[in-house]
Amino acid sequence: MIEVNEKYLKKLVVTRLNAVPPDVSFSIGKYGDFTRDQLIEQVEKGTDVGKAATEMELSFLRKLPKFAKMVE
Amino acid sequence: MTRLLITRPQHDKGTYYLYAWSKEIIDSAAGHGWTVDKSYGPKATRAEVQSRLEKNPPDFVFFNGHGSESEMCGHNLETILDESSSHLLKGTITFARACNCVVKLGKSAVDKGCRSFIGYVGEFWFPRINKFESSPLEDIAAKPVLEVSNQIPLSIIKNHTTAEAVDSAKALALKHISKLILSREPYDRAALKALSQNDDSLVYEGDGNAKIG
Repeated sequence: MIEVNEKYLKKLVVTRLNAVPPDVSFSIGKYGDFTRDQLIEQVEKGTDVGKAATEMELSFLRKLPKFAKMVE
Repeated sequence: MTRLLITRPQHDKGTYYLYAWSKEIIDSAAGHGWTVDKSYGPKATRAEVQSRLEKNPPDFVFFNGHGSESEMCGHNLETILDESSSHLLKGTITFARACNCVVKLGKSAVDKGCRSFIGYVGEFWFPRINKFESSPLEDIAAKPVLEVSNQIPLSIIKNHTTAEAVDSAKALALKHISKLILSREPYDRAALKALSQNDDSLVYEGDGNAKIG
């Protein structure tokens, strides 16, 4: 059984962000524009932007079963 | 004559993309015989936008740019509308392609007579590939995400109701997601995250049956 704590979540989100090409940036409203690596840094530091990225990733993972059913 | 008011600030990379992707909406409205009032670039100011809202009340307002729960911003993040001026949206259908605006600004506008206010309860995300910085319409990572948000004003212009416009955008998001989820293209991973995030956060306040005409 894997213990899901903050450290684990950060590692999960960083791993998944690393799957995005490094020349991609994300525009995140008023927070501004972040390259993939800058976003990873925000996640690791636990800033508001990093928390938003973590929430986005978790939301996507929670919806994966629904998305998988759509392509069956 | 049906009237659209559109704001298109252009002061950073995010607004530069929204500026480019909103041209399709202007073309569609003009093609349907609408009058289009535009507040572009440095003219997307509080004075300009509020003056247009007062002097030539639009039927449909399409804000592009940055926002927060209680305000919509224009050029250089100037607040162009907030809860104290939300009465200016009375009688309109409004779509804010911006973060969070629907939460307080949208509710306040509807309380003061806005027919419906469509927007995002969370952050509006989109990815972009750096090499397309000067040609946003060719950016394959941004394209599906901005196409989905364009679906809302395109539907409103085609006389669909507010609820139908939102449903149509959500259906297009799911269509893109179901295609991209099987893709081996690495850039699609960035689009998937943003599509899912924005879909979660897209809602409307007010009358779902509100439509133009």
